[in-house]
Amino acid sequence: MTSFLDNIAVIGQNTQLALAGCTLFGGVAGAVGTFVLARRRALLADVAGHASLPGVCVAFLIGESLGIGGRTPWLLLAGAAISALLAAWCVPLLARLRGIGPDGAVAITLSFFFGLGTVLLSSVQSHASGSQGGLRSLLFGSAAATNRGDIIALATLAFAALMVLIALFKEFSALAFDEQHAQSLGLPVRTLDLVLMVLLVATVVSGMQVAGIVLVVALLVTPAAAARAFRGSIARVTAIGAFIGALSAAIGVILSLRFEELPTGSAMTLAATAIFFVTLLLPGRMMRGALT
Amino acid sequence: MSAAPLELRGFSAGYSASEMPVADATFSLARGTMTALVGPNGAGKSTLLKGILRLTPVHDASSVRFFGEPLDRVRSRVAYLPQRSEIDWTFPACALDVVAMGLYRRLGLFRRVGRAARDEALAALALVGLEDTASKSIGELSGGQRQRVLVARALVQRADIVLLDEPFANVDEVTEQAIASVLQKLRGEGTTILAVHHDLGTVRSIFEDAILFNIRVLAHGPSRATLADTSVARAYGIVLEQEHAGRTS
Amino acid sequence: MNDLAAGPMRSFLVFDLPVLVAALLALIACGTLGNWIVLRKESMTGDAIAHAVLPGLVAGFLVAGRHSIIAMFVGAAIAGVATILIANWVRRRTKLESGAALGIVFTAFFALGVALLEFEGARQVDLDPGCVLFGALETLFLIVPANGSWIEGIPREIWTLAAAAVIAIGFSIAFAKELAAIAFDREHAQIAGVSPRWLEQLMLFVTSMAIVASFEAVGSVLVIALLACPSLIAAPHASSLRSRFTISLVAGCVLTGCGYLLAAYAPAVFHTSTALNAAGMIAVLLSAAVPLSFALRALLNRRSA
Repeated sequence: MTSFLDNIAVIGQNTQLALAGCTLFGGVAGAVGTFVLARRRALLADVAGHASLPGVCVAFLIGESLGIGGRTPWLLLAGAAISALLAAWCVPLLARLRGIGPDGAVAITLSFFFGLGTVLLSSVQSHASGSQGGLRSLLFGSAAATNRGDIIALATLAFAALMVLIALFKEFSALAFDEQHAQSLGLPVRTLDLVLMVLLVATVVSGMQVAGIVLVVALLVTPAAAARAFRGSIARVTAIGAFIGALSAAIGVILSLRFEELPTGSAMTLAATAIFFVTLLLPGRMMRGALT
Repeated sequence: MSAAPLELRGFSAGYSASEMPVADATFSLARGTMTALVGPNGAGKSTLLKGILRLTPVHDASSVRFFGEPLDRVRSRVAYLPQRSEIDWTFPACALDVVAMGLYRRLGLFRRVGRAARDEALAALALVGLEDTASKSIGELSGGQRQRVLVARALVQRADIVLLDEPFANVDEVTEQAIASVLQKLRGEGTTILAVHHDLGTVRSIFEDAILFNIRVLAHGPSRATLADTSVARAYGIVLEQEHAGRTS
Repeated sequence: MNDLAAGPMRSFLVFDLPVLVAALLALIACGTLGNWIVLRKESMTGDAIAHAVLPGLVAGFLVAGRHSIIAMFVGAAIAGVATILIANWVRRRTKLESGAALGIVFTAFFALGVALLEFEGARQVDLDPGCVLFGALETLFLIVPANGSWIEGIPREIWTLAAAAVIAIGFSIAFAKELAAIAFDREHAQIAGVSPRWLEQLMLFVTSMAIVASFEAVGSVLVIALLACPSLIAAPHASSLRSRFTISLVAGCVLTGCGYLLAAYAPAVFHTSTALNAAGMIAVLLSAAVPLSFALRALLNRRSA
């Protein structure tokens, strides 16, 4: 244990910062994930991740043309967030069309945004200098590739999301459990749903750089799913989800720093999945008939 | 003279102009009464409740008045129990959490669920006999227990009028008794109750009044008299004699 | 080959035609099977499989050495089937919704695949991460041997895609009524004995194979577009299964052709030098066409009303 701590200390301040930032992200993702699962929005998180690609490319191009450099953290995050939000807005609209349904809407939106993203990316790659490595970290995440500015940006976003979640915790709970009753109580369900969607996108976008656009969804879904094995109040289960998320993220960062070839996103996902399967072994994991 | 807890005048609700599940409903409930909303399947009873509560599109919102006011002004005085089947019971919460949800509006945005609120929720659970299961996950509860938790959630609001959608559906006799006696206790305290009820055999023993409903209001009055009116019953195909004979209670 | 036209025509035949053919074959293979998937309301299964086959591909390569196509295919198909089976098991055990169960499993598989890929130095193989997601359409070209016929120069990917397309169509025709029953009402089909276990597994297997054949060439982003969009484009216009299949394939092929041409030649029009990613362009066109198709239907309805 002590040598482990020594290792962290030796690695250096920047890495400690990266570890802290990623752990915060993991915790927030685990907490937000509880409501993502309850609202059946797991696939939406997947779309949000992929759909941020065109936004990132456009932001990069804007940055380059404005002369401030394409890789400005805030710019990229903003670009990612905008295109992810657009996609999240498209999905329910498309789902309403007869014969498309929620699954079809997700497929269409994912294809459009990610397709657009790859088209833009092919254009961007001619600008950037040999960005094969950049591509890899965008797709699969890399804690090592982040700099101080990146971490601060992602940590700030994650922290803001956490604050909103805590402030509106009971409202989200009521919405997620029984939307009709929440509406009958007079809670502003449409607005709450929108805020929850924004939280989802914010969390996805904040974790994109370290977990990668493909695998960031895993941090939102798997720890929260693992937390469901535990009994108790919503607050307790959410806290456990946050803990598992933070743990998975931390393990992921440490492993990916230790083994250079292992991308951070993969490490985080594998850690979270391992924990999930362990929780399946807990007694009483099988729930009684869910919809009686 | 205080206004009626619930008054409808020519109330219509539904998704399209051509197919109104509820058309031109008119009735008024007196304070402290317990009324069953009775009718065949697909008669629009659930839609009526949802429409009154603005959960479904309505034709003309001014045709509904709670205590003489539109719903938005008196929401804190109205409680609702939706159908149990529409809820996802895998949601990670304990019984106390769910009951406390009835208080969220009263607590207000950004407020925590504090000690006082928890105590109120516990008291509501005690009313339905579930004080021991307060910290149990809802996934572990039986069907009857789940229904009682939802009833407790409606109780905790301490509303003046309670609207319930099939409160006795798919519950065992013990649960039915527990819920019925709680509702009757509420009625005794002056709360007005309107419940969609499917079982013609038990209507008369639980509810003092009944509304016969099939898209429109067909009859409204004391349950014994209203339901014994066979001509009305036959009008929408309810075979009352057999039902009555089949029940042992 | 020298007797064929020279100049731009030759360039088209050598560089563009193989890519176009590959994309069209991929569309036929995936679009056909995609109809069944969309009708069963499982559009995202294809995306999940496309991500999840990675460890299977890598494992196949590791076990059987470079370029053992069979091993890679078998590995990938096994991974694909395993993903769905495990996701279903997770769903039964935990009562989570299907999207969540799929998400947990396919991300784990993908993460495993990437880890294997990076660790085992499989980087030497043309299985680099960019390729996995975006495909390598542009790397397909006709290698013309000096003395042989041009058939020998056809890239291997085209043959596998052709085989996949044939299998997809054959499978769909052979089991048309069973697949239709399953798509309409799975529970009933199972109870009525119309949908035996082996058929469901076979469908998964065939779908995985088509996905693997396609994503080798066009990447996993395009696979999801090829699977779901053609069928959805046909949805508002088709009143029978036959017309649904026909419209989806015809519209799909047209859009694929347009997508490729746009990606290849638009830069020349705008005087930029880089060719745009063809797979991405095709995905954009296919997906954008779905709401347009619905709008068209609404317009036609209004006209005739």
